[in-house]
Amino acid sequence: MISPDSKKVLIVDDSSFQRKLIKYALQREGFEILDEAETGDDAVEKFRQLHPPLVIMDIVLPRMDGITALQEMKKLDSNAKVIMISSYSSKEKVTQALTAGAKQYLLKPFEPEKLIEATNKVLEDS
Amino acid sequence: MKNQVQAKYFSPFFRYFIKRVREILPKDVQYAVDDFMIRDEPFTQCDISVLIGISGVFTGRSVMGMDTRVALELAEMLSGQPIDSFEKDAQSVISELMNIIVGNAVSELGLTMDQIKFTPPMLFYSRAVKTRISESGFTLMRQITTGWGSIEFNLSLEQSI
Repeated sequence: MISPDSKKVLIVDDSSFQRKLIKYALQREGFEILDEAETGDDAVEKFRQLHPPLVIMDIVLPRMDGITALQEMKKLDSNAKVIMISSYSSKEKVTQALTAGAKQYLLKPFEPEKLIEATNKVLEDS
Repeated sequence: MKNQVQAKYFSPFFRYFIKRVREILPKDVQYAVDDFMIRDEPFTQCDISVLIGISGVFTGRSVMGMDTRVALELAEMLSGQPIDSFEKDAQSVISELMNIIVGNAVSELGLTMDQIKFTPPMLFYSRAVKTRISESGFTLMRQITTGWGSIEFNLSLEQSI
């Protein structure tokens, strides 16, 4: 069972279209979007300010990439829950993301149902 | 031969171009996938082009081009909303489509991160601009033709020095 307090998300992607897709999918399931970020460094700053229960973050980002941003978030909160998304998946990249502390890795394009499934799983596992 | 990039590196890009565009088009939209063409350079761009650079075991550039009307139609289909002009949201839609095509293709190649990298998409307005995207090789092109116009995918790959 996921508490309403946990259904709050920070979305990080440099594509406004992708952020919109994720936002709509989550809002339909009762999630609150705390904020959005376009760059890795902005994502870290918003994570610091908002302490979101969940972050959904692209890997390829301007200024600071998603893996580095994830590592910075983990320094702020070792229990940070982050789902990484990317149009690119290699065994190496997935391993890198999971080693850095990501809870899940989704390959774009993904169906909204897959996103919700991954989100619920990450939050239920806490 | 100076440029010896294996043919197998080209096909995933075109395969994902066709696959991802087909997924967007409604079932009642007629379209045709044209044959491959080897393109003379420089070539005249479409109204809107999205470029992604590739580097690693081979270097190259991929450019997806289309006219404004096609871009608006695709953006509307992808976003599910009417779009009147090619503004920020429509640009983001087309750029993200290209990002997904190239990312998926590079994933299929199975190369490591040291072996291949690609840039974020760069969108530009390019009507009547003549462009050369290959340094010393050739450009392979394939296009999907719909009732509103064509979407073309150009790819140039060369062996890294």
